[in-house]
Amino acid sequence: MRHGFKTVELRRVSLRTGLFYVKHHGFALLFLTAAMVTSNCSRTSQAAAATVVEKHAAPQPPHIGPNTITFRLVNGSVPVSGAMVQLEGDMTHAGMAPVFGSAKEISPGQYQGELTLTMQGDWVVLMHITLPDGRKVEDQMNVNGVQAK
Amino acid sequence: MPTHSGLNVELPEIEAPPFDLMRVPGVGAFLGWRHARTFLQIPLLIVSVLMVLHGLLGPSLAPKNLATTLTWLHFRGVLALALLAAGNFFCLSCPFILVRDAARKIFRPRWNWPRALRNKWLAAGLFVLILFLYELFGLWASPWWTAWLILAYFAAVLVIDGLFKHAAFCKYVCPLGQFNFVASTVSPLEVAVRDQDICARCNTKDCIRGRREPASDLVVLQRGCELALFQPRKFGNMDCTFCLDCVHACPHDNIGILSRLPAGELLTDTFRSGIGLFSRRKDMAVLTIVFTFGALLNAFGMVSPVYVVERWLGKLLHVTHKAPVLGVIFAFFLLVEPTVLLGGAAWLTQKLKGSPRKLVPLMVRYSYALVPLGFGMWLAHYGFHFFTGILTIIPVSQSAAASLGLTFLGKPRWLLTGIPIRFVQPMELGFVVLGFLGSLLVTHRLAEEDCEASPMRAFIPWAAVCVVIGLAAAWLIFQPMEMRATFMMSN
Repeated sequence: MRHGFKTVELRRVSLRTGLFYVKHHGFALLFLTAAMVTSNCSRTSQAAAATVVEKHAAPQPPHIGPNTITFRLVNGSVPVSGAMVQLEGDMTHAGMAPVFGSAKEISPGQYQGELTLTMQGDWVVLMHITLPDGRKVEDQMNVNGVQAK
Repeated sequence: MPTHSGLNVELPEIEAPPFDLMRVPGVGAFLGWRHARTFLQIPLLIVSVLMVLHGLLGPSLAPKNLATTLTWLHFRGVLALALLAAGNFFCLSCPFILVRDAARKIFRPRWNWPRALRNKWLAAGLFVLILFLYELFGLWASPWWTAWLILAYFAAVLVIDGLFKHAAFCKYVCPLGQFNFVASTVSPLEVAVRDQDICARCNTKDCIRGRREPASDLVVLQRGCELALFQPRKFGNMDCTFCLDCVHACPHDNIGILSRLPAGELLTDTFRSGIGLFSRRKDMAVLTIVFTFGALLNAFGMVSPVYVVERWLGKLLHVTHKAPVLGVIFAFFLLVEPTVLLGGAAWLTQKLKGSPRKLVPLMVRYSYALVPLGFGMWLAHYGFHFFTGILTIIPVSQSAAASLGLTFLGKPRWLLTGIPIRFVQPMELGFVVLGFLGSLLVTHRLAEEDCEASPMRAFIPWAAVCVVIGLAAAWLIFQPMEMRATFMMSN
């Protein structure tokens, strides 16, 4: 009891003892809980139905204006054809409007699209993918250091 | 000059104020309500909790997260504009203090803040540290770290004010509070005494001592000023959190929120309760230097040339990590540049026989004159983000609600942003020009005091400093914005 926080045990103790625990261990408990919750919850992901690989942006370095985004969609080593792909470009800093585009399949499992980036700085390109069977896949790539033309 | 009966000290005369916010119908009644502060703090606490939760559990992309959007766009913008238009109303509504006050019902602080730390050195250091961490870890781009920064703030308040009496955190530690204190010296409103004669007849001094239960001295009925500002001798906004404890404590209803000349308190070096003389506070001068030059530094981190400098420094130092490069840039902006500019101006003032003061006292005295210019630059920077992204809170809130299954806000309208840059840029320039003129005015007034016969001898060197900083600020505004890239690291 002295070192534990089991709920059942805590119910039995008096208000004074409860306050003692809050006073001496409350903050540690709060932060431990927050750390546990966040470390478990925010970084988990489901097993993907398809995987995005070989992502790249052209030209390099990227610049303001049209940039080509290319990637391959595979399930294991099998190319996934027939997916619908929406592209979204966001700056890493809040406050700027995102840009949107779409990607088309240029060869089995390989998709290419264009995004018109509007400002210098770091961008993140999100790929919103709908597989032929309707399942959704989300992926992203960093496009850092976008320069003026 | 009126004399305080209890302390037998001279009190500064003040003219009858033309405006008192506490006399405005409705507003005055609300602010005079004992729970007004709590009423303002609760919504901010709720928003803070939402920001932390969304920062830790929501999308990792900054533009889609409440933590980063509210912290780095809206909060900073509203804060700066409120300081410009009114006063330190953020400290009034500070949610950290609401939690602290609740915790103090359990924790009774035992100690007084250490005498050696009763100054602004620690706070100035923490201010620099926050600016440094902001650049190093790219806080603007990380909801996760932004949320932890907010949590760390809550933890720091609870630990420090849980151990130490009064408002030790606000007065000696809080970097955000120091920003507000310095910036509010140019605000048009001030918590001040309405009639000094009433104070002169007052025997209880409740404004600083507070009121206690007559039967038990341990029971506080109403706090006095926790920041040791004695109203009759308080001068200006420095260290005032606008908490209104003094307003509620005063038995004569003699404290209001009065209008004044913005930056008027910088025009003279009078004794200030809880502070002393500005000219003798090297720590406070350093804080104002960090405030002013930090404004340039923080904005410099957003424009294209910073990446050229970073790459060049990286090659020069043979390092790939950002910390040492940033260290050099910070040292240049916060040590070398102020030393050269202020030291040079002080040396020239002596050579021109503009002041009998020595070198360092001259630097200290005139550093306060740079506050309006520094604030102008902060306004320009924060105003840019705020105005260009003001509407982004709508799609981010819609998205956050939708992620919880709440669809009543509709689908996120991601294309909502704000005012186009071409309209915001003249506003930015206006803020800087306003600050520049304010600094020139303060500099001239101080020069008149220093060299009554020929004030230009003292004015010219310091006006030159204002011109250099003003031009640097204007140059920064017209640089292509980068929205904070990590160019150096990616190459």
